[in-house]
Order: sequence, then C-alpha cells, then structure tokens
Amino acid sequence: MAQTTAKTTIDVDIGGTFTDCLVYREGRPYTVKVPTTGYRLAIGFMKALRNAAALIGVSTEELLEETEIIRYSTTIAVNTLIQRKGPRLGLITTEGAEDTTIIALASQWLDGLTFRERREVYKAIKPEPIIQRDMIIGVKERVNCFGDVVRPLDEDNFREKLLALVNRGARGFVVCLLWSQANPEHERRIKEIIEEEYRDCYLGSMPVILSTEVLPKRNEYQRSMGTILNAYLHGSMVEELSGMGDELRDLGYNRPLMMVHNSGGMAKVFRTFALQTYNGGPVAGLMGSSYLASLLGYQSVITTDMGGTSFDLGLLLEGSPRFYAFQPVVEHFMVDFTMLEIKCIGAGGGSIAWLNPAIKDRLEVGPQGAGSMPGPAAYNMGGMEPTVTDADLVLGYINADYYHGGRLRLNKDKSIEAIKNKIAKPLGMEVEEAALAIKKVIDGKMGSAVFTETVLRGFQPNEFVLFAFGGAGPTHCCGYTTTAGVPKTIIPPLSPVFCTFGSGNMDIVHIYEKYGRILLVEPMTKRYFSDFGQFNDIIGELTKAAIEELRTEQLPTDKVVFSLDLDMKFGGLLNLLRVHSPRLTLQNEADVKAIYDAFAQEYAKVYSPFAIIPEAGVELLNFVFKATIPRPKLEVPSYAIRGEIPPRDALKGKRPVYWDEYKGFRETNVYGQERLEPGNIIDGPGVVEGEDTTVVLPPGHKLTINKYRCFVIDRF
Amino acid sequence: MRPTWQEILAMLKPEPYPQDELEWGYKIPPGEYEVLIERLQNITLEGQEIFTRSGMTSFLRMGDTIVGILTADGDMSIAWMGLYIHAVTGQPPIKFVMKNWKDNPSVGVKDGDVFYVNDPLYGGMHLPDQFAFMPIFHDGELIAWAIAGTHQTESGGIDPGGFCLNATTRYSEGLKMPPIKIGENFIIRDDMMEMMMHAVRTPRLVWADVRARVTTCDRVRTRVKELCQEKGKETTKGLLRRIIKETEEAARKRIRSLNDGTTRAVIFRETTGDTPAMQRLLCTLHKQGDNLRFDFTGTSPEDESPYHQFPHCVLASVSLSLFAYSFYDLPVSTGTLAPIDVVAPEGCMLNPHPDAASSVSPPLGVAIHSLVNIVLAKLGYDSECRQFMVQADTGQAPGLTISGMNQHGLFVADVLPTTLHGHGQSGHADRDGTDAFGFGYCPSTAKISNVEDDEEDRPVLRLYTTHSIASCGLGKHRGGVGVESAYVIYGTPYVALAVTGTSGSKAALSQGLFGGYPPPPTPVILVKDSNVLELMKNGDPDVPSDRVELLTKRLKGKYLFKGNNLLPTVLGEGDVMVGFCLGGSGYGDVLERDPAAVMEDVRKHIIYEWTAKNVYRVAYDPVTLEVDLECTEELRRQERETRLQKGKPYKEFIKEWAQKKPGEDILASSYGSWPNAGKVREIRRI
Repeated sequence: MAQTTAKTTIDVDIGGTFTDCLVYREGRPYTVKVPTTGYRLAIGFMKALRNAAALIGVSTEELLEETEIIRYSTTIAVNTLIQRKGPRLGLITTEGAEDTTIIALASQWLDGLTFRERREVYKAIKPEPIIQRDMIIGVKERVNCFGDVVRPLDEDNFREKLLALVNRGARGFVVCLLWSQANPEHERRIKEIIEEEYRDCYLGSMPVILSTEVLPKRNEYQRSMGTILNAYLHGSMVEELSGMGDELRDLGYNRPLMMVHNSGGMAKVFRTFALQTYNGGPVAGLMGSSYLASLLGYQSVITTDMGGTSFDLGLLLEGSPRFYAFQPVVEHFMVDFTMLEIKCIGAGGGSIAWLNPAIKDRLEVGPQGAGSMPGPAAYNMGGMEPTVTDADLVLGYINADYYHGGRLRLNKDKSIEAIKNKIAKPLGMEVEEAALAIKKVIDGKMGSAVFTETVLRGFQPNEFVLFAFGGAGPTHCCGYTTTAGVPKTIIPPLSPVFCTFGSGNMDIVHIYEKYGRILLVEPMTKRYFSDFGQFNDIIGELTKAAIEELRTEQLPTDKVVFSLDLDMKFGGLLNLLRVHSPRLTLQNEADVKAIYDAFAQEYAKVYSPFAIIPEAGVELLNFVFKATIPRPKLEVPSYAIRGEIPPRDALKGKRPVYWDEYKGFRETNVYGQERLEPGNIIDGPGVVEGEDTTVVLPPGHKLTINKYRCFVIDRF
Repeated sequence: MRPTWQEILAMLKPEPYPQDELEWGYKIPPGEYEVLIERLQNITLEGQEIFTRSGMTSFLRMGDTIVGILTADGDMSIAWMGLYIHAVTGQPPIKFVMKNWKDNPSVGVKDGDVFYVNDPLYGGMHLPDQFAFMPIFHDGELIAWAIAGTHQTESGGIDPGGFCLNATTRYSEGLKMPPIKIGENFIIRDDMMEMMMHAVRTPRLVWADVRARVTTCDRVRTRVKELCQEKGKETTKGLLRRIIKETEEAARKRIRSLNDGTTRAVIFRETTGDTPAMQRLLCTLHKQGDNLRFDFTGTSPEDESPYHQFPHCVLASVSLSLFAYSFYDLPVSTGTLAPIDVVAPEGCMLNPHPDAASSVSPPLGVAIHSLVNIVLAKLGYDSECRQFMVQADTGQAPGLTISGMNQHGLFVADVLPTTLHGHGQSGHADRDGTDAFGFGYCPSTAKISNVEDDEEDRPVLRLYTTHSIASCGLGKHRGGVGVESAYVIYGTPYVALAVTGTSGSKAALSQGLFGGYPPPPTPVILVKDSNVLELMKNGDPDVPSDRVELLTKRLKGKYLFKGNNLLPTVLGEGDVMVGFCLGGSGYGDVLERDPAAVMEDVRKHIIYEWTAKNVYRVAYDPVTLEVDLECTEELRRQERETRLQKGKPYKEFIKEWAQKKPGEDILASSYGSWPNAGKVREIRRI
C-alpha cells in the first residue's frame, strides 16, 4: 500500500470546457468545477481556488498557506498551437534537408486521422507549417549513421545565414541536424556560435533549442517537429505560468507548482518542455486509475473517459501504465515524444447520429459532435441534429429535470422530434427503436475501440476490469463493455473530476533519453552483444545527469528509483518496440540474454510467435532512463460496509426506461447516488442518478458499492 | 488447370449471393449491423498494424499492403488499405483454390492451412506482389478466408529487386508460385520457406516478410473465429455477404447518378525498358445506366518487354481510382466491382500472351490510373460527385531499386520510397492540389521515408530532398509539387541500380483538365565517378544542395540524363543518382489563376519567375513581387487575342495533325499500326 498524507494538496486540471479543482484537506476531498477561461487560463485557475476555499470555509490565503503542493495539467499547448499564437522561429538544419518539415514525409495530411477520414483522399490538405520555408536555413555539415563526420561544419557560412535569419525576424532558434542524435557536436557548436553572435540569447530572450536536448532519437522529421513544437509553445507556457506564479505569490504561496507530464510523472515548471504537458489531463486520469487499481487489487485495467465529444481510453498492466504512444501525433504533427498512450475517438454524449446516403442510409454516429453550442436537440438551444444524449433521454436513461443536478433542463420533445425526423422516419422505425439503435452504434464504436486497443497489444479484454469516468461514461459503460467483452466495470467516486485525483497521486519523474545503436544480437550468427562497457557507459552518463539535476532541484536523491526502458527492433524492421529492461547494467552474457528474452516475449505477445526473427539480428536504438521520486498518495476515504439493501430514501422513484432485453419500456427503479451506502447491491435493471452523471444498469448486471464508494458493476 | 484471362476476370465479380446467407445478413438488426461492420473493419486494422510493424521491405514498412476478409467462396468482403490493387488481385487465387484444391485429396483445404501465391497468371499483378491466405473454419465448416499481401522487393529474377527490365518472357522473372500450401496445422513448412529463400538474393527479407504475412492472416483468422463463437457462424457469413451486396447496390446507385455518356483519354509512353519507344494507352469510358465499361481498345500491342498487364490487372488498376476517389466511402469490397467492366483486346499490351514478361506491370497500372482518373473526372464534373471525382495524381515517378551489400555487411535489395511516395496531387475544381501529397497508388497510408531511415541500413547518403520546383501542372488551380531526392552511394564499394518508372521522361504521363497543364517530364540523373564525397570531406562549400546547384556547380564526373527506366547498372561509392516524383496536373485555364496566387508560388519556390511572366502572364514588381493588376489584365487580354489568332477550324487542324505520323521503325517496334495501334508483327518468345 502506498504511503498516504494528510497534508493539504491542490490539484487542478484545466480542460477545454471546464477547470476542475480537487483539494484534499485532512483526508477529505473537496471538488470544484468552473468554466475554463481560454483568453487567460490563470483567471479560471484562481477562481477555482477561491471557490474551493469558500467550499471549505477558509480564505484563499489560508488555504494556500496550509497547502503543501499545487499540481496542474493544462491545455495551453493545444490552444497556442491551434491558434498559431507562438513566436516567429528559425529552423537550422543540415543543408539539403531544409524542406523536411515542409514535405513532412509527404502524406502528413493522414497523421492523426481516423480510418474513414484517411480514405477521404480528395480532402487531403496539410496543416500550415509552424515554421515557414523562408525561416529555414541549411548548414553545410554532415554526419553519417555511425556518428562519423562526413562533412565538417562550415562556421563562416553558418554565420552569414544566421544573420539573414535574424534579419527576417527570428525570435528563437531550433537546431535539428541529420544524425545529431548519433553525434551532437555540430548542434552544440551552432548553439555556441549563436550565443557568441547574439549574447542576448544567453539571457533567454532568443532561445536556442537543440533537437538532441529535447528528443535525441532517430528520424529527423519527428525529431524536428518535437523540437519545433516545444520551442513554439515555450513562450506561451512561460507567460501563463508566470501569471499564475505571480498571483499565487501575491497570496503568499511559495511552495512548489508542479506540472503534470504526459509521460506519467510530474516535474517542476522550469524542468518541463511544453510538449510534455500535451494531453496531461487524460494521462493524469490514467495515473489516478493506477493508484485506485492498487487500492482495489486490480492488475489489468482499461480506463475510459467518455465526455461530450470524445472518448479517451488507456491501459494499465500489472497496475501501471506501460504503453507509450507509437508515433504520437500532436495536431497533425508527428512527434516521437515519450508520452503514455491515450487513444481518443470521436464519440461522446454530443455525437451526432446521421444516415449515410451512400450506403443504403446506414446509421452512423459521430465523429461530428454538436458541441456545447447549440448542443444536443434536448438543450433547446437551436440544435436540430439528434445526438447520443437525445437518445439517452428518449430511452429514459437520463432525467430531463436532473441533468447536471438540474442546472440544465432538457427538452425531451425536441429529442423525439430530432430522432423522428432524421433517423426513425427515414428508416421506418419507431422513435424508441431508432434511439436504441443510436445507443447501440455508439456503444459498439467505443466497445470496438476498447477491444481493438487491448488485442493490438496482445491481451484479451475479458482479463481486464474497466474503469469508467467522465460525464457520460457511467451511462454507457455497460453497453461498451458488453461489446468489448469486459466483464467487470468500476466507476470511481470522484469520476467527474477524476483527472485531478490522478495528478494528486503522481510521482516526480524525470526522463532522460539517449540514442545509442547497439547490435544486441548479431544477424544470422545470433551472437549476443559483448561490449558491456558501451552499454554501461551510457547508463552511467544518464545516471550522472539525473543525480545532478535532482540535486539542482533540491530533490532527495536518496529516494530516487531508477528504471530503464529500451526501444528495440529486429534488424531491417522499421518500427521499434519499447520494452522494460530487466537489467540496468550488463555484467555478462546472461544479462544480455535477459534483455533479449524480455524483448522477444513482448514481441510475441504483441504480434505473434510467428514474427520472432532472431536471424535478422536485434538492434537497440534508444535508452529511456527514468528517475522517479515517489510522492505520498492521497488518502481515499474508506467507509464501513452496510447492508446489501439500499436505504429506503436512496430510492428516488421509478420511471419507464427502455431496455433492449425486454424490447420495450419497463418501470425501473431510480436511485440517488449520494444516498447509496457501501455494501449496497442493486440488480439491473436500474438507474442511479448523481449530480454530474447517471449510471445505467441494464438487466443482467449487478452493481455493488465498495468501501471506497466505488460502483462495481458485474455482468453475469 | 491454370485459369484463362476470361475466367480470372469472372472471378473478380461477386459470386451469386446465396439466399440463406443474405437472409442471415439482413436479420442483423440496425445498430448491431453497424457495430459488426466496425468490428470487422477493426479486425483488418489490427491485422494491418501487425503487418506493417513486423515486416521488413520498404513497401511493407511504408504501408503498401492489404489485409482483408473474404467469404468462403473467395469474395472480398472488407479490407484495410493499403494498396487497393491488392484488394482485387488477392481474390482469384482463393477462388482457384476453392475450385481446384479444396476437394483434391492431394491438397485439400483444412483448418490451419497456410496458402501462398505470387504468379500473375493466377490473379496477381506481378511476381513481387505476394499473398498469404488462410482458411477460417468454425465447427469444421469453412466460413471465410483471411488474406495479407504486399510487394516483395526481390523475386529471384534475372535482375535484382523484382522489377526485371531484362526479362523478355515470364521465365526470366524469378520464382513463380501458383496458389500453393506452405503451411499446415498452423505451422509454416520449413521446406517451403527454404525453397522461397533459396530462390532469391535476399533470404533475410523474404524470411521476415513471409512470416509477417502469415502472422497477419493468423491474427485475422483468430478474430473472425471469435466473432463466430460470439455471434454464430450464420450471422458471420450473413454479415460478410450483406456487406458485398450493399456495396454493389451503393456503387450502382452512384453510377446511376452520373450522366450517361462516353469520355476518352489517351497517354503515350516513350520507352520499353531503356529502349526508346512510343506506345499508346487509350481508354474510352462508356457509362450507361448503372454500368461503367472501361475499354482499352486502341492500346499498343504487346512486345518483348516486361511492360504488360493482364486484363485482371487492368481491372485492379482501374479499381485504384474507384476505391480511392469515386467510391471512397464504400467498403473495400468486391461488390464495388460488380458494375465495372474492362475491355482489353487480346494481343495488346494489356492482354498479352501468357508467356509475356510482366514484372514491370505496376508502372502500367499507374498509367491506367491516370487515364481512369481523367475519364471519370470528365464524366463526373457536373454531378453531385464532382467534389471527389477529381483528376487524382499523375503517378509519374521512378522506382530506384538498389541492391548490394550495405554498410553493415548485409545484402539488401530494395526500392527507395522517397522517389515513389512524394507525388503532388492534381488541381481540383475548387482548389490547388496538395504539394507532396503522398503516393497515388496507395494514398491512405504510404509515406516517404526519413533520411535517417534510409541511411540506417541502406548504403546511401541523401544529398538533398526538396519540393521539386516547377514539377506541377499549371492551371487555374495548379497541381501540387512533388518531391525530388539525390542520393550518394555510400558505405559500400558498389551497388546495382535499376530504375523502373512510369515513363514520363519525354512525354507527360497525364493530362490536365479543362485547359490545365500536365506536369513536365523529368529524367533520372546520374553522376558517375563523382567527387562529391571528397568535396564533403574537404569541407568544400560547393556541394550541391538542390537541382540547380547540381546542374550548375558541376561535380567532377560523368553526368548522365536517363529516362525513368534503366536496366541494372553498377554504381560505385560516391556516384550520385537523382529521382523526381512528379507533381499533379493543373485544372482550368492558366489565365484564370489568381495573380496573387501565382506570386505566392514564386515566393514559395513552386514555380520559376519565368513561368509567372510567360505562362501565367502576370506583371509584377521584380523586387517586392507585388502584382500589377492592370498590366496583368492587359497581358492576359493580349494572350487571349494571340490564342484566337492561332485557332483553326477542326477539320483543318485534323488535316495537319494527321501528317504528324511517327516513323515506320517506331510504329513497327512499339506503337503498332497507324493510327489505331493494331498488331503489326509476331512476338517470338523462347
């Protein structure tokens, strides 16, 4: 069991629509939701703190005074990117490779698209480059794949080109040379020259960012884009943070402000690259699930977050997130950052149902969503398209008078009208049948995504439990777990603000990556690698860097835990597989074999034993070295177990709900979430209404409330 | 036993729909049907992911693949692209197995069998395109097939790399496998693997890639079986059949929405191998009711070269445009092909004698793709489909195949993807084509490779990779530009280079639409015995970093300007090779292009200033590149006047045009009879 703390902590997740805040004080959680203030995120952030303080009954200053740590995740990176609000940057690359980020591996328009969107070839349009071609210069230099210098750096020529770049208005420089990960000397020298020529850079006004400092990995396009995005987003992040920092300091808070990283850890703000904050909220949800899974004793978990427009899912194995995104894409730009994999598909409460005229009016749901304005037809704000929320309302799953605790009244007639006109009538169905079909399609889509993501990694969904959070997750989880073949579902107690619970349980993690090509197994001869010193020197170098940085940050180096992941592949293949290394250093051939075995085992699991080809040799390309300082975990309150029968006042009443199993409506018990007690059991069919979510329990399902007030749903 | 071309074409139509399967299919209620389709699509996606990540040749690594699920009688129900032609050419071998092997006691079809095929005479495109397929049994009944296919960049032919330019008959093209069983009881037979590896120059690649195909099939098989267990075999079989039926109905509906009529397009090829030639490919599209008939009558006769396609390959090449554009929103299913017919008269290069060499058939497919795009765009421009029935891409590009020892001492034979996968897209009715949009042959997956990918285990050093200036077709909406790359042979004493392309070194392989220009022809440039590595080593500033510098700052060495087809030639370390992946065609009259867009093209190095002045007729300030609108309008008015003066009555034009007959030698060797490209000589193959 992880160590827990009773000190006050604050976790904030700034999402696209809402800013969620979770304050843990004296072992008790306080949650607040306020609208996100996109024009200046600090305003929403501070409002959330003030509201939380008011909820607790103290002043903001008092709350901050007793707060040990503030952690937060943010969407600033996405906003800056979409709005192209970043600075004018210059890109310095190897001569002859100036068009790399413009050509973008040619079919860049595919990156980040779904299967269907990729078939819309006629729509192929690339995003506007972050750095235009006239701000890119080529340096006369060249290194080969072994790191040998083929062409020395022409410094004089570079100085001339640099001047031109500055004259064109560069406010920062990104340096990404070919094979710099194998030999970073030319990149470093370029930085020195810029700093010699423009001393201001040293002060930070014109940052010089080297690709080998940010992303020392093979493949220049992904390395360039990762470095460019960091440089581009850096300014906005600093601006936002300094705003928040100033306000917090004015209120007397001088302790750490930590940022949630998409790699699953957190770090101090100045130790954070902007790209590490991308998707931080959902990753925090994954980490929260990891902690909850350890409390509940689950090893294999699928986490799902169904909101208004999107459905995020992630995987935990042996209680921890192990999967990193394969060629992650940030807003159509492929990067190769180490970020935990969160799959996102366009499916949510606001997803629009429509008939595809090309294929016999086949019913489709999403990916287009109605958004919050005009929103589903039921919002009665002008939306005419039927959505999943409308279907849920027609089927009786959600309560028109108690949506968001009654703060938003729904209009059922509008839902019926939209479904009738757009779906039921053209298909010759009753409105309820059409609504059920909409639900089935969206549940099928999400369930199919859960299934695919699980099996793609070589696992069977029925060996997992599924955590469902987000506003619409509990409403649809029984549907999508049925499609996915997952028998058990957990709805956590803080599901509406679960990402903040996640960040509250994250450790401090620094990641150090290094490219180092090692032939672990020779092709054809299958001989094992024997130069242990080469491997151990790299580990020694990474360890030293980690210790030095932890000391600089005044973090306790005696508590640090090191771990190592390796990116490996069979010889001749393109794609790498990341494997947790069973050894930190190599002492003998048995250690090398242990690493190979771990790789082969994982490979067979993910692909197939057919695909194991040691005859092709095995190459190790990247070292991913992690320094983790464990943090105390939030205490999850536990309660005494009561009887199996819910208290009488928990039953709010009955209403007709449509169940596929009965092919029609049936009067169904409706319970109030807050009134239910640990130990209570409800057999489906049933509905449980909370302030921000509704749990739908179809026939054949059993809901049990455990001592942490988690809802545990079993299908039988 | 080998099927005739007519039989193979028939195999590409859906089998008669079994009534019981349709009933099972239509029993699946709305909601569940859509969910099950999604599930099937995800099964193919899962297969595709496994395939791409576990294979070795560059085609596989870059996604030129297909993974599909077929009915028990061999109709493709749903597939994940990849390369659409494989969705077509993988089907006949399965139907062959069902007809000839299933009940043959010496072969049979059993659970756990693994079949393999690459011979075009059994339905494939050419020998390098290889498929594994496995039957899917449930409760002892064959209910479906799983298939995985991709191009193998070596087939043991007379030339390394699979494209055998020296081949004059099929017997020089390497290992030919009709549909054979290579595995039983879920195990690949070692003797069969040994046979395949023994026959080629790159056993390591073959070993890995055959396994990748089989791994993929097995995963798809497992998943479909799970679906059967869950939903029952009737539902599964019904689902597969219903998809085909509905796709056919949808395709017919879309065709009906187009005007009836006939459209034509013609293109000329200037080479067979590296011999100068002149060949005509003529496509006439007849649209009547819900049928499209692509008639290639008038196409030049077969010859001794390996540039041939068999009729089923022609249909596969036609389907490339259909799946990518006209029917992009329908499942990749054989139902799409039901209303499509192709006509290719016997004896023409698209229906040669079975002994003809055909290892370089894909470049002809690219030519057909161009033709089909044009005739469809002409047909569809006034329809509701005009948005997506566009002239797609020209496909004009050389495949640079290198073979030899790499810098790690291992033998490689592979095509470098960067000169193949960086086409520009053609201009649309409402916008310019996208620059470096991808690979028209495989538009939804293929990418060019990173420099560091190429250089990691291929013996090359990339000198430059750029947007290829002036490579686009001009027009009101210009085509996108393509990608151009220069490589230095590096880290090895020598390699063999073979170039197989679509022609297009002298005559453009495509046409613009409604007055738009085609993209310009391009050569392959070689610099033999160059001093480029010495210049680099010495820190010389004059190492070329683009085409202009390469041609003006002349390296020491022998400059050779070749066509896009080159017989295997030896290049030594330090030799330079340059390939161009061309841009898209233009749409509409150049004089209607927004002058500001023209100057933006100049700023972005898409076109030269010469073009802005002399083709687009734009007047501008040479320093600021600001447009002088008034002057531009006057220049354009004058140009229109000149055009009118040059104009001739149709009869007069034809009279003059008919005089421009090619020489008798070229007609006899490649074009055929004048003007209709009929057969003029016997082809003797030994």
